[in-house]
Formats: sequence, structure tokens, C-alpha cells
Amino acid sequence: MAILAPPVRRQRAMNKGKVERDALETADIRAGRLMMIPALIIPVLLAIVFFFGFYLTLRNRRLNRGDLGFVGLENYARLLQDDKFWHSLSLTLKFTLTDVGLELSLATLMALALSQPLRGIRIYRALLIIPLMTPPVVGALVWKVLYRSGNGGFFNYFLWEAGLPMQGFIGDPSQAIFSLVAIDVWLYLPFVAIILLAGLQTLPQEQIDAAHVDGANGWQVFWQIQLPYMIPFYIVALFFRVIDSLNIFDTIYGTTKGGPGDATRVLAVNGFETAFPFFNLSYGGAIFVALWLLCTVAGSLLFIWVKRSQAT
Amino acid sequence: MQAPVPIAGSGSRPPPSTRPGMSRKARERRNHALLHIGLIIYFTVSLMPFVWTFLTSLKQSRDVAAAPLKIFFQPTLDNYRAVLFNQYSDDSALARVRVDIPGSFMNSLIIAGGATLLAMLLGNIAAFALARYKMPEREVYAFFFLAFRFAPVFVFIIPMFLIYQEIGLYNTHLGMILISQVIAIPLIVWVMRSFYESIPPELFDSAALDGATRMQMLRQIALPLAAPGLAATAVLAFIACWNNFVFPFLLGAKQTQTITLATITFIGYEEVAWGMMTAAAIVTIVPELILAMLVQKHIVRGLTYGAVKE
Repeated sequence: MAILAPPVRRQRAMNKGKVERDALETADIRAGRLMMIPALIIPVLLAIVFFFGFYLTLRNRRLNRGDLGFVGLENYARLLQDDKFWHSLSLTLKFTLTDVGLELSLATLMALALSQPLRGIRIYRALLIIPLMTPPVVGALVWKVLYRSGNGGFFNYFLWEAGLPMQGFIGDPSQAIFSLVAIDVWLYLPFVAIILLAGLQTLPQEQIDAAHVDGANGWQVFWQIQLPYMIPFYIVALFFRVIDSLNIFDTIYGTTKGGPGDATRVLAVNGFETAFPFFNLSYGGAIFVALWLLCTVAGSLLFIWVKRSQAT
Repeated sequence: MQAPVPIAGSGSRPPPSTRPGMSRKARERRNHALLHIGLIIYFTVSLMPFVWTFLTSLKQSRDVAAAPLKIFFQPTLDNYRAVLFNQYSDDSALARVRVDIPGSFMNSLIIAGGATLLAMLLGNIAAFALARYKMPEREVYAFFFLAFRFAPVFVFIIPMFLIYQEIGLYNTHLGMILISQVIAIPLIVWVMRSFYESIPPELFDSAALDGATRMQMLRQIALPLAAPGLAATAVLAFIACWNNFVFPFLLGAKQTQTITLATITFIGYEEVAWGMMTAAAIVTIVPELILAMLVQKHIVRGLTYGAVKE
């Protein structure tokens, strides 16, 4: 603290040209710290709980049989040899990559479209955020209605009418995960689109006009001006979407609950099932520590990238 | 046309025409028409799930179950009577699915409302301090809050489940409000910080010369100037708590059953009460949409924790 303080003070003193502001500055800092305390209480308690949670994974705590003693790193050793864990990990990564990739590319098109001076643009923008405000679980239920099997289901009815083969969607092991990606893209494409749109709108129009005068076509303007300019906005979107996709639980619990078979049993669903329906709180906790590590690595990388892109 | 429609013709100056036969005006009109068509198709697809949900909620159970699908049917308000007033008709095969939607709605209101109020109180003071006072370690605080947004909630839920049962917060409104702070406080601190930072510091400096205390500066300068942001942030925090599924699911039972949780209980092991489930879904979503429309202007900033300003 003492090491960090001088530059701030010096800068302040130079700005104001008054040395007596130093005392005020110190008082401000002390007051600022005091004002942080109320908001910090619950998060700090939860940070302690986090360590308690980690400690639990070193024991063998069962929901139905109580605490069966200290086991050290046994739960983590088991994790490494657990095919179900590796399956859920690869499924989580597959889900995240498809989901985020689709969202970024489709949202780019949406943002470009909505940055045009169209008539009725305000209506489009208002409509855009509707799925975003839906609770993910309820959004999933809504899609469950559409995905129903047989010709009583919405999508299947139209396939049937058109003489095409009906599909299993969330009921078909090979389609289930992509059917869930569709739900997630529907929910969060607007989120990415409004971030990119906000970015596009801060790009000075003169830059685009100048490029047009120099003979650039639309493609060139996009690749050489708009896209590089929007990189910080893409990173913000990535930040939220990557981590939320790694943690995906609500939409899956509202539709397939991990099935059929293990086709949609991502890490969060696997950990939840291990901890609660299968009573193994410690092993379930170990799965979540793994998920937490994954999120931390992804989040840190993106955070460094954010800081770097802000600096330039 | 290989150029993407959106960009061509976006300039206020005429772009060099690739088709000399067409005037700038005509090109622009054609591009806009194409864009409108594209957007209308997108929104039809994107809103269709809601329309279908609404239609399903107006169907009698035999129409819901009908195969092939019935697009035209005799609408009924039975499902809404069931979910809004707990009037479940006995003639349906699904009569035994009884979910207390009005009660769950109240639970959601108490939990999301209480959590938002508490977090606004605690979070705003911290946000103001972060924006205004140059604590050398302020980024550490900010990062600490942010970490909660990006940690899997289950990492806390498993130990909290045991702790809550031990200390008697399991299945209580207070317990739900307290755990919801983990969603609401980080959001409020980050978003409100960005609003407070946009207030010119000279305003506070001159107030300080007049002898205003820090709390007076927060109440009389910062809060009024940030009022629109304050409202938007409160709404977003409320929606985030309202949408939460995992906390009431694992840290609560009947007494704290929220509406998102109640909606999912229409899914039984053998059958799904589609009509009532969709009616409950509509009841869950509508209040949120109304709130969201009110604060549309600040939604980008709010959803990105202040990282993107519009």
C-alpha cells in the first residue's frame, strides 16, 4: 500500500498544487475502504465457504450417510480415471465452442444489420432483447414444447407435413446437444448482438466514408475497419459467453436432464447429479472444483486480453 | 451481390458505384428492403417460440395432446384459471398436478425484491467509493466482486447446502435473499461504478469546499445524477435474481419455491402438463418483459457490467 500510494499523491499534488490535499486524500482513502465493507461481508463469507467446499472434496461426505472420513486427494485421483467425467468435460467444451462460435458470427450479422438507418429500427431493437429477459429454465421449457416428438410436436408437424422424416431433437442422442445449442443461441445471440451494436455505433462514420471514397467495398470495410475496431467488444462478449456456456445447467435441466443416455451430461449436470441425486457431495464437489479451474483459466486468459486491448 | 448488404450504401457520401446503372438512392432502397426482409424472418423465428407457447397455453388438454398438431382450436382460459387462481379442474387427467403459482409468484417477488433492495443499499456505497476514492487496492476489490460472476455457483452451493441446514437458513426467504447477494452485489457494484465515474469530479470537489460529508455527496449529488442508471441497475439485478434457478432449487423447498421452479414442476415423470406449464411460463416472463422495456436504454451497460456503454 505504502509503495503504491506515492505516485497517486504526487499526481494529485501536481494537479492541485497544494500539499495540504495530502491529508484529505488519506482521509478519502480511509473512508473509501470503510464504504467497501458492507458490500464485502457476504462475498468474503462466501469466499471462506469456498475453501470449506474445497475441504469437503478431501473428505468422503455423503448426503445420505454423513461424513465417512478424510480421504485426501482420492476424489481427484478418481476424477482422472472416470470416463464419465472426461465425457462430460469434452461435451462441455464441444457445447461451448459450437455455442459461442455460432453466437459471435450470427450476432455480427445482426449488429451490422441493426446499425443501418432503417425505418422502424427501434422496434427491431426492442424485439431483440425479449429472449434475453426470459429465465433460461423457462426458455428451455418453451423449446421443449417445440421439440416434442411425433407429429403433435411443432417442428415435427411441419416436417411431417412436408413429407420429411421426423426428428428426435432433444430425444435423439446424436442431435440432443445441438438442439440445446440452438436454445442457448436463441437466448444469448441478442446479448452478443447488442454489445457489438454498441461497438459499431462508436466507430466514427468518417472512417467508413473515407474508405468508401478510397474505393473500398463493403467486405473490405468490414474486414479492415469495422472488425479490428470491434475486437474489444468481441472480447467482452466472449468473456461472458464462454464462462456462462462452460457453466451451462439451467437449460439442460429444463429439457433433457443430461439424457438421453449421457448425450447432454455436461460438467455442471454431472456434478449436480453426483452430489445430490447420487448423494456423493464430496465427489460432486471435486467435479465442480474442476469446472471452477476451467472457468478460472478461461476467465484469466480473457481478462489479460481485455486489459491488453484496453491499453492499446 | 458479394458485398454484405448492411455495409454497402451506409455512408452519407456516395460510395463508388459498382453498378453505374443504379443510382445511390435506388441501391440504398433495395438494400434496406432486403435488410427488412432478413430481419423480419429472424424475428419471426425468434419470437415464434413465445407465440407458440402462448397458443399452447390457450389449449384444452385434449387439444394440446392432439396428434397431428392442431393449429386451429377452441381457445380456453382454463390453464390460466388453474395457474392464476389455483382453480384446477378435476376432469383432466392432469388434475393431480397442482402447483401453487400465485404463492410461488409471491415468493419470487419477496426474494428477488428483497435481494435487490439489500444489494442496492450495500452495493451502491461500494460502487461510489470505487468510483470516487483512489484506494490503491481498488482494482483488487473490483476483481474480487467480478470473480463471483464467473465462478460456477455450484462450488458454493454444495457447502452452502450443508451450512444452511445447520444454521436454519435452509428453505427460508432470508436465506434466499442472502445467497442472492452473490448475483446482485457484483452486478450493482460494477454497473453503478461506471455510472458514478461518468459524473464530473468537479461537482464533488466544490461540494467538499462547501463542507458536504461523503454521505451527503452520495445522496445529494451522485444518486440524483445517476438516477436513470440506478433504476436500470435495480431492474437488471431484480431480473437476474428472478431468473435464478439453482439457489431455490437446492437451498430451498416448498416455502421458498419460486416461479421458475414452480413452472418446471409441471413436468412429471410420465406426462407433462403442457397447457398449464406454458401458462405458467407466460406468467413468469411477462412482468420481466415489462420491466426490461422500461430500462432498455441502459441494458447494454448493465448486462456487460459497465464494460460497454451505449
